Amino acid sequence: MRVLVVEDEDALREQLVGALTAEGLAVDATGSGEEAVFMGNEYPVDVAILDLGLPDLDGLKVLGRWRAEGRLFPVLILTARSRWEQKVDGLETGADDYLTKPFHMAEVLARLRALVRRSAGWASTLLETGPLAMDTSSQMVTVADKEVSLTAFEYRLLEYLMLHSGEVVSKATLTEHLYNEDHDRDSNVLEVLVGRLRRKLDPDGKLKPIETLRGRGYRLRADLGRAGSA
Amino acid sequence: MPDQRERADWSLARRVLLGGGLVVITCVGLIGLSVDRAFENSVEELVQERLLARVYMLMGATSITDDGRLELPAQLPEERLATPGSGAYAAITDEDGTLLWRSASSVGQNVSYPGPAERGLPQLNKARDSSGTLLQGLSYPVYWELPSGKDRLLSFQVAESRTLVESQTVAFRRTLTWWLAAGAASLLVVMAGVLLWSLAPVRSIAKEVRLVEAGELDGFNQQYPVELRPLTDSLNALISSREKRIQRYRHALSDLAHSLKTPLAVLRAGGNDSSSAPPGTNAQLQRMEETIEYHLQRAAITGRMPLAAPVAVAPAALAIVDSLKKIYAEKQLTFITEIDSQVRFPGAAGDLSELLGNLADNACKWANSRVRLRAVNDASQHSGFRLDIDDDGPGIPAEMRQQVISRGVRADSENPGQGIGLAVVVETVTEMYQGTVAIDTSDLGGTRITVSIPANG
Repeated sequence: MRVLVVEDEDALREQLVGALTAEGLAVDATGSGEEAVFMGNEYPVDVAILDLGLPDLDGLKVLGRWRAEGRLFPVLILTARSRWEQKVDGLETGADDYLTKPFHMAEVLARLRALVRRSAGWASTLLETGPLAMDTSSQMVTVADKEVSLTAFEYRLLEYLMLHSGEVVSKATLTEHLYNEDHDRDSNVLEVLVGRLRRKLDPDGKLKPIETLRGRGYRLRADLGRAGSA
Repeated sequence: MPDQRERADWSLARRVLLGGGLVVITCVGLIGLSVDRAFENSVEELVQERLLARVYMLMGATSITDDGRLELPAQLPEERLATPGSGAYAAITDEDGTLLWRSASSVGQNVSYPGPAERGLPQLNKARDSSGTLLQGLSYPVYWELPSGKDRLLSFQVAESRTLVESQTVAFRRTLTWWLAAGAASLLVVMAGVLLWSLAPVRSIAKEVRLVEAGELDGFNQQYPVELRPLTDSLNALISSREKRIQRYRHALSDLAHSLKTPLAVLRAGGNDSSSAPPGTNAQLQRMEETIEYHLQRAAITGRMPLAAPVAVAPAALAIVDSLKKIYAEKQLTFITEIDSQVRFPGAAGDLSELLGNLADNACKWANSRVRLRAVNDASQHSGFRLDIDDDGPGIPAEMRQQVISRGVRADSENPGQGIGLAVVVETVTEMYQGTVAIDTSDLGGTRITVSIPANG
């Protein structure tokens, strides 16, 4: 999951980037509104955290420019302004959620996850495909009610695939959304990781949740329920 | 002194009409009185002249025979003296008051003339007829030279009934009264017209104030008389500067919020892993946050503004509900909005958003599945405003309700997070709008918070 952080206060931006990176998320960050417009329009952003009080360009204008360009990734607004008129303005401009400063970092993370999940069409915090279940709030993954222990990166990988279950996700897309920009983009590493995730989820090889489509990418099967019970 | 207080709020029209009416009635009364006096005087003079003329006529007709007898022709030039009951009388007496002659009109009337006074001068007096009715009399005692060369005192007495004079006076008075009344009435009508005309700008201002208050006008138009223009000009200036002041004030608050809260956010986010911070830092941070939040929210309340248009509630509620749908997307709440498009909030738009936002947000926090917003203009309170926000959550036990309302009024409330919004709502409603906030059980099963605001505080 690739997060764009737009916050002009350096200390706060660094804290946000630190916390999100620690969660295993790919993070782009900027303190400038103009740059934020560019990054939002050009980068494969899954979700953005947008501070409204930017020095060069008002956060609402940044948001408006993204939406005008047809960029529909969910946006979490961060602001010091707590008047309802301002909240309504932000949400009407196209933001999806709102967090007033100061905030708890845990809350930012929870809201981000919820936004991404919702934008992928999942209403509840529980993502399910057949026996495979992922609770995005507790970050617990179970297969047939048995807990599976995943590393942070494996979790992000599975989360992305589950949010896009039934879709073909190319290796390039996975790399873009899961790795930071400066990361060494060696597709072999991704293959290794997918192989390890497959073994953890399906040790005896009966479920086969992740398909490999040669030359196109991976797909998490949306029809696991039928296949699993068969 | 209730009378004085009542008089103090008499309308200008009433004052001017009453004062002017008094002037008109006094003037008309004085005019009537003086015209009446003048008329009476001229009538009296007329009567006197007539009496004198009669005396001279009698003197001309009188001759005395050599034996001293009085001789008057049977047919006198004045017809009325020959007609009984005509009201015109004449007699001639001698020095002792012995009747020497009397006119034919005196037949059956025993007219008593008062005795002659000084000689040689005509003198007005009061005569009476046999029924005792007062007559206007005149006696003119003269020395008449007898053919013998001796003088004899003859007293010529004439009298005139007052009936004619009085009936004439009555008729005149009636005519006079009628004309004066008509004159006074038309003066009053003209005065009322002038009053309407000269008070028209004042009425127009009152009308424009209502239009400005209803939001149909942005300010007063410029076509006012020079006496009122300072007033309307300063009202216009007030109206236009007010919006700017509020805007500037909001921006200042916004900047203040930003510059206080961003460092707090840094401290808060960094505080989690910094073991170097002294114990209790987090609690103190929390307290600072809440104090700042509470005072910023409080300061953001505008309150009731004179000459401000009431705000339509339905669009504001719709915007808040749309926002809450996004914020509480997880809960998939059903929002029921029962607000007629005619409903108006008697205050600032920002305050309405704060009330709706804070209360509905609170309801969303507790609701299981449904939140209802209902607003009406209460006709019984002269279009006061009532807002009900209901949820189907767990509700608040009756014994806790008062506490919930008063809680958080202290910024350092024991219950962090909760209550600041509600406290600001309670303070806004009770202090800035003279209204009330009540907690009840909702028919949806949870809490109902009712805000009542009178139209004019």
